[in-house]
Amino acid sequence: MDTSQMLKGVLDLAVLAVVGQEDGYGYDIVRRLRHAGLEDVGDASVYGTLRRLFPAGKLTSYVVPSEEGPDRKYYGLNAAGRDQLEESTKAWRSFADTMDGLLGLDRGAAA
Amino acid sequence: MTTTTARSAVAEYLDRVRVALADLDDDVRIELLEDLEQHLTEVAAEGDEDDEPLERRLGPPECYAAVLRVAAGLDDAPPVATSARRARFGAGLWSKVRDSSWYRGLVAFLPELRPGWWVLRGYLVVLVLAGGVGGGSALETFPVPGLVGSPVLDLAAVTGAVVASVALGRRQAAGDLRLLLVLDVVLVPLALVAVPAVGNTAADPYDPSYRYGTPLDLDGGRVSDIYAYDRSGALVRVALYDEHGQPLGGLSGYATGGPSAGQLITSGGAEVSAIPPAVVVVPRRADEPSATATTVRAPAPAP
Repeated sequence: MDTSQMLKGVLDLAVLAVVGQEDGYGYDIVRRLRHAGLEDVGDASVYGTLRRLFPAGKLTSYVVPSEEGPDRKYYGLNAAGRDQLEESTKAWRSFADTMDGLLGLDRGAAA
Repeated sequence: MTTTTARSAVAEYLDRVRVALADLDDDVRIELLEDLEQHLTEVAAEGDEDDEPLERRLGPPECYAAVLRVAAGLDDAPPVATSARRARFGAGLWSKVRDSSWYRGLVAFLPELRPGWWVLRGYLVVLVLAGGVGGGSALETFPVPGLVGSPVLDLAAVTGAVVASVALGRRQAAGDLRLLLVLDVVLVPLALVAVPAVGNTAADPYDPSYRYGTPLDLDGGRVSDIYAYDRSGALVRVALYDEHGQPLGGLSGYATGGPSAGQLITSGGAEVSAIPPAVVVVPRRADEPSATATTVRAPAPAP
């Protein structure tokens, strides 16, 4: 199973995490995700996720005028987005631990 | 890479994405693609359009649109609220009907009737224009409505209307001209009225035997019209009945200048129940111009 399958379930969390670190615009967020190691992440997937999280009330947005081209729309986390990031992080942590246990990967566990 | 090349590549890519999402509601699609242009411009700015065109880097716009659709959550099942609402309205029975094979067969067949409606619709428009829905004189020349009185022109009018209606109908089927639905809504009740009316008048109005009632003969000749005059010489509209109480028929009423039998007699607006003996002018034969004055005693009115 390649990472894109696993990524589908956690892309929301990844996007929230990136935006939570620092506000960003569409392509900037794609770049940062890839730079962090998710090289297979699709441009359309990220853009679509942003266009879903925003009407769902998890993101704020504001426009920064630019001289070189269309104005850039920046996304940031609002309070609801921050709550979701926290909850999803806990859920991820719990799920990852469970999988680690299942696969015998948990550190320090008695054999 | 020049900015114009990049801009046109972005515009073209964006257009194809938009087309691939054409099935979405307009406002949903517009909101979804709100900053895609800016996004694609950034992507284009990073690379060289000549070496690596947008399509190669992002994949075909159609695939982009498909992934975008899923990521934006637009392929989800309908919300639970709708299903609950439908269930509340006793949809259980309705969905059983909908799933039954006879209903599905019926619904699948109905589109095949549409071209027939288009033909009928064209004919009906001419019929309405000719004032024929009330079964009036426009239908004398059935089946072609008497729009202008000339058989050739009327037939041309019907043919033209049918052709136009079918052409419009095919465009309706392709999804255009939703306003024509209004025309259909008006014409369907008219069709329900017109078709029986046509059936009633589809006979030779000049054939006396078509009309109910006893034909009236006088001295061996068929009487085609009766004009009644009262004592002061005023023309009176009369209804005449034979001894069986049947209206005297066979009177075409198409002679010029006079009333036709079968009309109720009124005097000052009130129905007259008995007629004193009157002088009646009765043409001897339908084709004889001369007339003979005869005294006729009117019978008692029918029960």
